[in-house]
Amino acid sequence: MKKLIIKYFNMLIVPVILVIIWQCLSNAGLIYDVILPSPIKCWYAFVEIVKNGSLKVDLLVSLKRVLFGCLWGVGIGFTLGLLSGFSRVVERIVDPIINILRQIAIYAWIPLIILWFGIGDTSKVIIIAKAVLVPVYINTLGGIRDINTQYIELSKVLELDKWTFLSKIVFPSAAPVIFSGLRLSVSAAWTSVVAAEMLGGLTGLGYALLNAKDYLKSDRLIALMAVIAVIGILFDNILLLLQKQIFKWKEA
Amino acid sequence: MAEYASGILEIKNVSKVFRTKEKEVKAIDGVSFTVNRGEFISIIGPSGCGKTTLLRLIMGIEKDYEGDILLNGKRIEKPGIDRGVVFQDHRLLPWLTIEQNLALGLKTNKKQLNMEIENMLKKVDLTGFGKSYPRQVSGGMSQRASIARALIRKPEILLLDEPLGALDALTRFNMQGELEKIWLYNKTTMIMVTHDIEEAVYLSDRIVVLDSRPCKVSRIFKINLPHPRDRRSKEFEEYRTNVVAAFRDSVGDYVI
Ligand SMILES: Nc1ncnc2c1ncn2[C@@H]1O[C@H](COP(=O)(O)OP(=O)(O)OP(=O)(O)O)[C@@H](O)[C@H]1O
Ligand SMILES: [Mg+2]
Repeated sequence: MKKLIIKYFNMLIVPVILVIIWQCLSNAGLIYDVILPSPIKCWYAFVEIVKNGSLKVDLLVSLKRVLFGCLWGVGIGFTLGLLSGFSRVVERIVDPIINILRQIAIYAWIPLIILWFGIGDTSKVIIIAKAVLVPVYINTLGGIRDINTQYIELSKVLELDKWTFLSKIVFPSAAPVIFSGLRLSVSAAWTSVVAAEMLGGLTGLGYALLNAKDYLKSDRLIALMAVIAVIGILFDNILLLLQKQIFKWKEA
Repeated sequence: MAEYASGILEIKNVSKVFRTKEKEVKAIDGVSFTVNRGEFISIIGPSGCGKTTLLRLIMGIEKDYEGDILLNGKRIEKPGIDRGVVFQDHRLLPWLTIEQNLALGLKTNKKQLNMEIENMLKKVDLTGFGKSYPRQVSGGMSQRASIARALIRKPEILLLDEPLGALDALTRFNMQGELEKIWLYNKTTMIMVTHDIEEAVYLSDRIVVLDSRPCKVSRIFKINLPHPRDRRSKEFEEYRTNVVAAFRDSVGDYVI
């Protein structure tokens, strides 16, 4: 318990001090309100968007997009990764395509995708799926390819059939790497949904940011950014916890 | 009462050359000896002299060799469960429990299998650890589990490549006793590569001393002592001294 308190103290000390300094500077009238409103003002803005329900609506819209984007992206990335992992022919076909995809930043894709699919949910989901697909694919393939040759030897010595070899050796040994890919991709999904909503659309957190900017509501802007950060950290921590649960065997 | 099998292994004029782009390495050069049914053979020799390569040939992992390696009269061409293997690193799969490691790939029905696992764990002194993961047990226990994994498949012959090499001195000492018990109980034919001459004298019916570069049989010692052996007896000491002397000769200018 004491350890936990010290841990959180260490984690929070710098942000808390910064916020205190920021508040003091604002109180002293040293920063313009429109440029950087005080932390308390941002807090009030946060309370306001919670109370009037707009935060809930935007958040749910964004989360739903992330969920579907992730489902598609993970599904496709994982399947392609597995196929490439098990067949050099598939790898030679799929790898260049993934490589092209990953060389072009997500922002560069957005205009074209909007042109094709409009500014609704579909285009957002596609953008997120693309962001997710790449790390999942790369880690799945890498995890399978990096299997320890000693385990391959072992399965020969034990005369394992193909299915046992895949399910008991290849897949479990690749699973931790695949899961790290998943964690990376959820971060990618969360950052790209905001970007996608900012570059086109009338709903979601990204749009809310844009809207706040247009009305020069910098307090709301900062409140929304804080929400985005907290949710992103929350996602990552949940996945981290999950990872520790699933890969108990790994801990020393 | 053929609960455990024990095969005869004949190694007849076996040579193995590794060819890489730059050069050829003759790892084994005309090695011959026979391992009798139920016999415990140790192989010792200088580092890099081809002991592991010889075992890998017997495992069937390394192919393209000259001469013949016959298990019960049949030439070895590929790996198979008639040869059990214990690697220096226990090579248990960390994501499977000890039990699951033992059961890996076995198609016996569940009830029968559980009984066999139970028995086997008892034999290697691991009762109650079936549900543990490898990281939760000590190095010596892992190595015993790895021996159990090999033995549960009832191999004709058990191949051990420095099975105790990674253990600390005390654990190693105890494990030698365990290995002796297991062998006395099963009477499975065993071939063990080791660097430890005392270990070889303690466990083996015969010790094959290999020469280095290229690997040839230098001498074969027969150890005529009853089990369990007393390491402090005069005869034991005599055998040990003789093998050490032969080993020195085969190592030549190298330092042991
Ligand atoms: N796959 C390979 N390709 C090329 N050369 C190899 C290969 N495997 C082994 N060798 C060579 O064959 C020789 C014998 O190697 P081996 O591993 O059998 O020795 P060892 O007696 O087991 O040594 P140690 O006591 O150190 O374990 C060495 O010179 C080694 O470099
Ligand atoms: Mg070796």
